[in-house]
Parts: sequence; structure tokens; C-alpha cells
Amino acid sequence: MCLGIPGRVVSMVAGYGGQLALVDVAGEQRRVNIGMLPGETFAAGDWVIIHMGFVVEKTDARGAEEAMTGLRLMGSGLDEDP
Amino acid sequence: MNTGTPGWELFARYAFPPNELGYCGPPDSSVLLQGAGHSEIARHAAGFDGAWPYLEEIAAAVGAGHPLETAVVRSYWIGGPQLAAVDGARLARRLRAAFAGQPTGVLDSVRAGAVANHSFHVFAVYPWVRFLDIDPATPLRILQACRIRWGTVLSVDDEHVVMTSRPLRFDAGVLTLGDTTAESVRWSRDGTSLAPAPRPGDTVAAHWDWVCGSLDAEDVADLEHATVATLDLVNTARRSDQSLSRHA
Repeated sequence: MCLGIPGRVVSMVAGYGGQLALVDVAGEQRRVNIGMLPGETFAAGDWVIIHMGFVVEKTDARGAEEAMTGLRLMGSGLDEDP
Repeated sequence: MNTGTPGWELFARYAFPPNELGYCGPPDSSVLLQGAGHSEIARHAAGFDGAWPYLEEIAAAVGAGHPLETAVVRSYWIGGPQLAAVDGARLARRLRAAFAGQPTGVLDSVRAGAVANHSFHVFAVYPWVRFLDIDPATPLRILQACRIRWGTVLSVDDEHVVMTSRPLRFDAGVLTLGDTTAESVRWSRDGTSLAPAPRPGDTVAAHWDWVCGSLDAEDVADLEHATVATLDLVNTARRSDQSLSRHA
């Protein structure tokens, strides 16, 4: 992947000043930084988009699916109609 | 740059650093290291869903037989006159379709069309320019590492060089290249390197924490031109977005 990947918050990681969350990404749990979205709150079950180890967007199940759909379409060519 | 370098090898040199970090491309970055075969690297390269659409569009525009021809790969990573042949509006439509549903930077706002160069992906497609007004430190660090930097090697040790480069700056809401500073970048690890050993005085390109290869004066001019042109597009798009939001 060269863009954002969707994941679902499992929990916040204690001891990092509220900056790290544990996120399930396709069955794999990763620590990601939520510091780029200081106005957002995060709880277990929230959907997020991750880029280079940072949450860059809070989304919902539909947004997560759209992000995955876009990833699947990459490189598949262009609809010639503008 | 040695224009005799095969395109697949050139692709591998510049693609390895983000692939190793897990940011771009398929798993198993070791495929890109020297020793892997052409066909194996070509299969791996096609899995770079960020870079591959650009390579295909450049190849189609210049009549290249394959997206991994040297001139095509050079245009994507470095720049050059072949970029002018690419239909920027068509590329932008393709990128918008491919990245629909993804948080992007200013891809939807770039009116002049896309630039078929890695710098465009970094600065316009990636979402990081969104965050510059919130806290520029992290976006600037990521954008600076992710763009292809150029500079002169000042010293070399077993695994690192000290090289010059121009840091990315964000002043008064505008992204620019700052004055030259020195930074330490890896050229080798455990005997593995992406390019021949650099020497003091060489001009080299760096991507993330790796030296990717040497550059000649034409390479530097093309890389700087592509980078600055993209920054101009992005700054214009950001001003347009901010103007629209003020009047909304």
C-alpha cells in the first residue's frame, strides 16, 4: 500500500500521554500515533485511516470500506470518460 | 545518474527505502535488493499501487514499451522533459478515481493537473499537507524524508554519509525549500547498499534514510525543477482551498 489503510481501534495504549492507540489492521494489531488529530477522541471500535504510522482520519465502517475499495482499484486503469 | 542503469534496478534503488519501512509496495522488500532478478523485481514493482499508475502514464505518453524502461523510471523519481508529454488532467482523473475514499492532500484541488513525478504523490496525494496548519513539525519531517532529496557528500564512513540537503520549510503558509544544511544518511547496512559506495564530493539522491544513487548536474536540475513545480502547485491549491473555506 502507498496510501492510507483502514483499521479499527482496539484500545488506547497507556503511558504515552494519550498519543498511541492499538489498532487492528486486517487482523494484525499495530501501535499507531493519533497525535495528528488533537481534536478527536478515540475509543475501542472506532474506524481510522492510518498513514505511515499515524492516524490521519477518523471514519466509519463505510469510509473504511471505501478506502479499501480505492486501494483495490489502484493500477487497474482509468475510466476514459472525464 | 548512470543512464545505463536498467530501469528495474533504478526503480528498486529508490523504492526500497519506503518498502522496507512498510509504507509502500508489497511485503518482502528484500526482493528489491541487488541480486534479485529483473522479472522478480518487475513483479514486485507492479505492486506499488502509488508509483505504478504514474509509471504507466509516463510510458504511454512517451511511447515506452514498458513502465520500467530507464527513461520512464527516471522521469518518475527524478523528473525531466518527458514529464511534459504526460496529460496531467488525465493522470489527475486516474489518481482521483484510484484514491477515492482515501484521505488525500490537495489532489482534488489541483486545477493544473497532476505532475507525473514522485514529488506530486508526496506533496499532493499524501494527506500530510492537511496537517501543516495544525502542527507543522511532524508533516515537515515526513514530507522531507519522503521526497527525493539531493545534495553533496561531505564525508563517508562505513555505513553513513554526511551530505548536504535543503530542508523543507513552512513559512507564512507556504511550503518552500530552505537553505542547505547537513544530514546523516545511510549508504550501506551489513554490507548491502542500494548503489555503489559514494565518495566525498559526489552528488547523490536520498530517499528516507538511504542514499539511492549518484546524480549528475542534469539530474539535479530536473529533480529540483520537478520538486519546485510541485510545491508551486500545492501552494496554489492550498491558497485556493483556504480562500474557498473562508467564503463558505
